Amino acid sequence: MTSRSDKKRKLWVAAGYLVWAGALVWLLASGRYQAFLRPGFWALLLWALAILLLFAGVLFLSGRDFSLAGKGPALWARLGVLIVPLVYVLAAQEQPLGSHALGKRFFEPRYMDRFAGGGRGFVDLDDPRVTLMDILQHFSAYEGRRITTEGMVYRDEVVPPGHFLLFRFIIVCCAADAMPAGALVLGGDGDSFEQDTWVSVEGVLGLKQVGDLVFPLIDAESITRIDPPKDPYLFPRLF
Amino acid sequence: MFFKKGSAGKTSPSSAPGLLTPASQSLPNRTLIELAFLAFALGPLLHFGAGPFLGTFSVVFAAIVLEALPFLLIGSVVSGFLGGLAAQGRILRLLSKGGAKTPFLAAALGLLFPVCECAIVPIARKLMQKGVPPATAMAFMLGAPIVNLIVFGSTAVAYGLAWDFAFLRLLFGYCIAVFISFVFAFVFRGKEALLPSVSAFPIYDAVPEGGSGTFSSYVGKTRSALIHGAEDFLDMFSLLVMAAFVTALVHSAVDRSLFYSLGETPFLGIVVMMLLAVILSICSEADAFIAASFQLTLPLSAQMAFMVLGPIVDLKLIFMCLGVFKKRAILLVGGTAFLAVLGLMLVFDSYVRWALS
Repeated sequence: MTSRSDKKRKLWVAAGYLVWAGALVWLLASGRYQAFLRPGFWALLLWALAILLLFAGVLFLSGRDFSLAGKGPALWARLGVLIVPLVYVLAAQEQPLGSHALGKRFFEPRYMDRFAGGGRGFVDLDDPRVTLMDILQHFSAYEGRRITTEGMVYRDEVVPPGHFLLFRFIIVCCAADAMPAGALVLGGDGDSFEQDTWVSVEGVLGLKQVGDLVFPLIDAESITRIDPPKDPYLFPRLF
Repeated sequence: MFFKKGSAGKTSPSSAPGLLTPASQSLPNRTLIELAFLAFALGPLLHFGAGPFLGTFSVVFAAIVLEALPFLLIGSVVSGFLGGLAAQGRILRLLSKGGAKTPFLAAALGLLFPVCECAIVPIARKLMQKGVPPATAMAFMLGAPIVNLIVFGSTAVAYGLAWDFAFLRLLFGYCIAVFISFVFAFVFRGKEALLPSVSAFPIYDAVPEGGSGTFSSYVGKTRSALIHGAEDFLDMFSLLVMAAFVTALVHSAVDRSLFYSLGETPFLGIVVMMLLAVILSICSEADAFIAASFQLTLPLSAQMAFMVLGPIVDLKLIFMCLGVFKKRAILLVGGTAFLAVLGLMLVFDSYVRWALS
């Protein structure tokens, strides 16, 4: 037979699950889950929401036939751990991966032409608006053409003077597998833009060798500061 | 009475394991670890506020947890329903037989039940509690995250539809899973590799009042499965959160190009990529894209090592296994996997070089 305190403990655990369910509703309804996961993940999060609600429901409704053994610090510690990720979700939601993350990741521009069936997709050469992923996947199609693309500003000791690296992250599943896509930008008034500023660059696409790496190069005619896009990341087509 | 007290191995309601029981029994210091984790996890956020490191860390940490959450929840539900499955179920009966053939079957079960490593541990734990020999459950646990069609597809896509390469990955993963299962069976007898909390409470078959086959019995079974799923989830989720935290710290603090610069020879390249796989703990359904980003800089064997070892041994899995297996069992599996993958990849590297020469 369960005691009143045991019932309370079950209710606390159920409440923990409901807090998570509420967070998932918020992430799904606002679309903010895309700050962490690729868009198609909503279906899986919906499943997670349904299961959490079921778990909370059965714990709320469980009566004397189910005894809760965990209590005291053990229960509170585990409930605390349950909530920790939500604190970081709140802390991270306005802040997409930026130059700090780029500095920690391996950058291999040549690889991108093989990415996600690269080169086989449709290329609309009449439309100058392209993403950095388009450039890397279909470089030869766009080489020598005038293009317009968007990204964030990055500079370090590898980036040649007078240039900056325009970059965005490509996400396959979640931000943990984020890989950078980028192109060097020369000209315009590039020096006036700070690290991590979102800009739109218009110019002619070429190539530039820096050390062992060959980067796409945009010879910029204009660089304009823009608001961060709704989806800061690029998501490759998988199939 | 909700839980029917049966023959040996069944439990009554009063003795049925309650919420948190597995953890409190299996890891005496776990509460202390969790309290220390709480202090550390909430400390930096409160003290340092927003900054570039914390920004990267928060996004990666939250992303890993959110990505794993649905899989862990689904795994917990499956494990809850496994608890209520009749022991005579065909697959369960086959797996429970033991013997030399079962690891071969178990390691390939991912083809029927595609699960990633986030969901696999609670399912494997429940299988063992249902009477499946630990070595067989180990073959399933290590094999399923690689030997499944989703991983096959994502690997092929990441490598420009190289189906043969994707097939090789599945084959290597299958062989390693079966091999480790045999080593495990050779070293550990019965359930001696399991924590007392796992081996001591054999599964509680939930048979509600009203007998089997009635509507109320199905409702009762479902309710029982969900309650035990909720229990498994809280136990495993706490381990997952701590593993994701450590993994995100590495993602945010360690420069990946360091690993690249270390892997200049095939041997070092393989070792470095294996270490990277353990540390990064990337889902087996996405890790091929990371591996493929090294296509032009590291040998195929090093990329393959990353994709074969990661789903078998990574930080996330190690933390979650701490709630099921004794530490020496985890060390044995981890060490054996590391050496087996290293050996296999050195042979693979030699073959590739011979084929290209």
